[in-house]
Amino acid sequence: MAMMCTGPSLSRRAVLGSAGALFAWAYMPKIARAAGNRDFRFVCIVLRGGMDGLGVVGPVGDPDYGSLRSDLALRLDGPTPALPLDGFFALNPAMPETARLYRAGQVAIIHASATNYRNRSHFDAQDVLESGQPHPGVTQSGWLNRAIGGLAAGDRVNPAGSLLGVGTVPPLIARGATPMLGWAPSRLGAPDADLIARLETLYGKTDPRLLEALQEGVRLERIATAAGAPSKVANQTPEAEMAAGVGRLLVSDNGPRIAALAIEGWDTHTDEAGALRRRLAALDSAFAALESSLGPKWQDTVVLVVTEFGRTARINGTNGTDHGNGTVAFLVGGAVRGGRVIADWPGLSDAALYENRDLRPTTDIRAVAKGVMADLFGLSAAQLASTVFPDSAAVAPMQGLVV
Amino acid sequence: MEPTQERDRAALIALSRFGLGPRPGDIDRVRADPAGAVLDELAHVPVELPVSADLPQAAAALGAAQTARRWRGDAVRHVADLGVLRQVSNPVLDDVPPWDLSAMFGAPDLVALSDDANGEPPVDPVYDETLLFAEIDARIQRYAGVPVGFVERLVLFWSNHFSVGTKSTELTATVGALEREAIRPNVCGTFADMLLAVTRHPAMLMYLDNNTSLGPNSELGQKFSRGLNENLAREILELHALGVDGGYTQADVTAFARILTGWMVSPATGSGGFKFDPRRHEPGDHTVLGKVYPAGGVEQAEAVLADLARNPATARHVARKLAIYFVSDDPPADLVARLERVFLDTGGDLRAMSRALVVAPQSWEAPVTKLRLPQEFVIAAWRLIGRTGDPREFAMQIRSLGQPVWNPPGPNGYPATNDAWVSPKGIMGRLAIADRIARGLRQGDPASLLAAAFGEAATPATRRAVLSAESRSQAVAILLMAPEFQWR
Repeated sequence: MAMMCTGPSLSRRAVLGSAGALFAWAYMPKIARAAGNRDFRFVCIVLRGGMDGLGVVGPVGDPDYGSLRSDLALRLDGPTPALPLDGFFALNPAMPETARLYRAGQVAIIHASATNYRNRSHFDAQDVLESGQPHPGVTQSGWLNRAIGGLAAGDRVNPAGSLLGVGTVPPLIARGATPMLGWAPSRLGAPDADLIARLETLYGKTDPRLLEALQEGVRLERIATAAGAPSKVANQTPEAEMAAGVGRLLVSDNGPRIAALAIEGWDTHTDEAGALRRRLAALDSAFAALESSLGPKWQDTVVLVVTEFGRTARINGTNGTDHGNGTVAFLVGGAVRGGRVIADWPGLSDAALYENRDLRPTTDIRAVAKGVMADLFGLSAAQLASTVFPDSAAVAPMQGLVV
Repeated sequence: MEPTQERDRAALIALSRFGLGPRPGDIDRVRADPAGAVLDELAHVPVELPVSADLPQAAAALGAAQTARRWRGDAVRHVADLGVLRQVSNPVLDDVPPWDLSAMFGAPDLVALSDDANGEPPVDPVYDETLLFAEIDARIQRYAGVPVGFVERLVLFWSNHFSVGTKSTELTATVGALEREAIRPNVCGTFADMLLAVTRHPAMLMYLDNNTSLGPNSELGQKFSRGLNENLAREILELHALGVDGGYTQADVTAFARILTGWMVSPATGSGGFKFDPRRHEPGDHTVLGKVYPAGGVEQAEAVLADLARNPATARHVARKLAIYFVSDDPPADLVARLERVFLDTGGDLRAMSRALVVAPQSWEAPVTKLRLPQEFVIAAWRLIGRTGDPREFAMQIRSLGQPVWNPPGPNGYPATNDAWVSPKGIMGRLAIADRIARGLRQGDPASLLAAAFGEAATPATRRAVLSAESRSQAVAILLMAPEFQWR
């Protein structure tokens, strides 16, 4: 269920004063700082549809890869060579920004990873990925919302709103009992300033509640779109625009520090080569937009990119792939200990494949999320194994992901 | 308040709190007897949408959606996704949807998928989308034509209470049918009939995964390792009937899930989309809420549903939700109690309960504090300006406001309280839609629209803001964003 800022209570407003702080009207937990007093930023991007890990980060060093994937296999030679990463893996050539960040040590890739869910249904898999539950069907809240809620002990009020959920319906990971600020990039063009001003005047006379919501909305939009800023990048992808808005909100005074957003379109059953390239170009542009809009804060940023499952190792009859299991996750940002592909590589022989069709997952993606939550926000393994990812004591937080 | 303002306030309660919002002339028409206008609609205005080629029955829609899936190659991909291909008649696999098979088999069980050997022309490969927009279009037509819209608001309420979502091709094709076949005929009937009709409906059975549920000791349960799925049982207890505090336990959920095994979907003509499959049904007596339901077939679950419909917790749960949806996020306790009483006294007669809601003075006296839900806002705007057609535009508008048609975030449906919708994002979204609607309006005089929308009940500030706008488009946008239009 989508959660927006709850309405004000008079006593809270009195405590927060008349400064009209941006998110003052909601109860927001204070973000605990990990040792060293660093003020991190965290973004989680959910890729919906099941991103083809083998097509994004190809194991070019694996002897079975080429024959399994034939025309879809990434290659180090040929007209559009893949971008080498570490001698075994190579990156889809549609991601030059990601390659640059990788070389700068700001991208870590976790391959052959997945949740513990194996039944290849989009909605159930997304439920598991986002709810953090060990099985589908429990969708009252997401793991990120619970993780942030877990930081609230001892702090009842803080003007710094922490959690931003992006989109007309924000991803489940950000929804739940912890209040969440909502923002969606405006796709219909901005209403003109005169209309807004007249509504502010009208609400000012008769409707304080709508006035507050409108003024906050306008202010958020100005921050997110850098209204009045001199130069705007021409022909930005919608994903980059969204990411730029997120970055600007994350560095705004008293603004959120954690954001969740989703990018659709990864279910590449047909003619995958072109479709995947286009999606990756959009994702690549989003990384660059986040880096740019976060500015110096990029050094303290971790972006976690996850998808609900991977795809078949073999291509299908329509030059695409079908639902699978093991896939890649990305960690991107200045605070990432990057420049590496983390994989317990199972191989791609028939015997090595999961059910003779999918890349076998060897890393539970919850380990990655736990490691990041622990390093950025100081959440304990016990909290992570009970509240954030219930029944996951067997999944140890991955160490050393953050610098 | 001036007498005319007061009268028009009552007219707006009738038209906006209970209805879908005024069209030009509606305030004048109902002014003399606002409550009467609402009750008259409850008594006389038809709620059904007729079955037609555009709006098929669920079984036909289901079968066609499955065919469409095959023809756009989804079946090959989809079943390949799940490791199973099937196209042969096999009594074990009959009517087992492809998505169900991998859950049953675990490992891939490959059966050749034949091309259509009969050479029949394919069903439209985007059948489910085409059907969805036909369903939406039929609603838009209905919303534009009803005198008040109270019955349609009841349909929206109950549809949200028994929420389903378009998470598959087959669901996209049948969600509209659930509203037409299980909700509408029972809005002025009994809760027991509605609960049974909804639980039997293929859209609900698919949405809450009862298709994949096998009694562990059933014939198929012993053959395959797959077991019980408790989703439907849990949501019936938690969301549809008793409510989360309704006094049931996890043991009740499991027992009810066992009783519900065998309730399956069917594309067979005349089936209503439902069949009972004894091979999946968990044998034996089962106890729910302290009552033993003896071993049996389909009637075992029917008995549980009938008892749930009579349960006082259900009356309390449903009465409170109804009052919250229509009147206030924190409704007067005596209003809820009255609705609950009527429900219990009449055996769950929903027409009687709806009537009680309308005749209760609290419903009219309660201050205007509920923000129109996104769907209500868009419907009211379209009704006011007389807009119909273009279901895609309608769907886009309400999706952009976070309430996509038949696609709620979960089986608990869309929130009906202000905290979900009164927010910076919520208001900015509405502003964009109001602006868009206003810009699309080629004619219409703001002063007339103002009278049509509010009669004499608009504040001087709103009146001034609308009439001093610098263009028709801006005037209409201001009208649609005015507090009198946003709150009901």
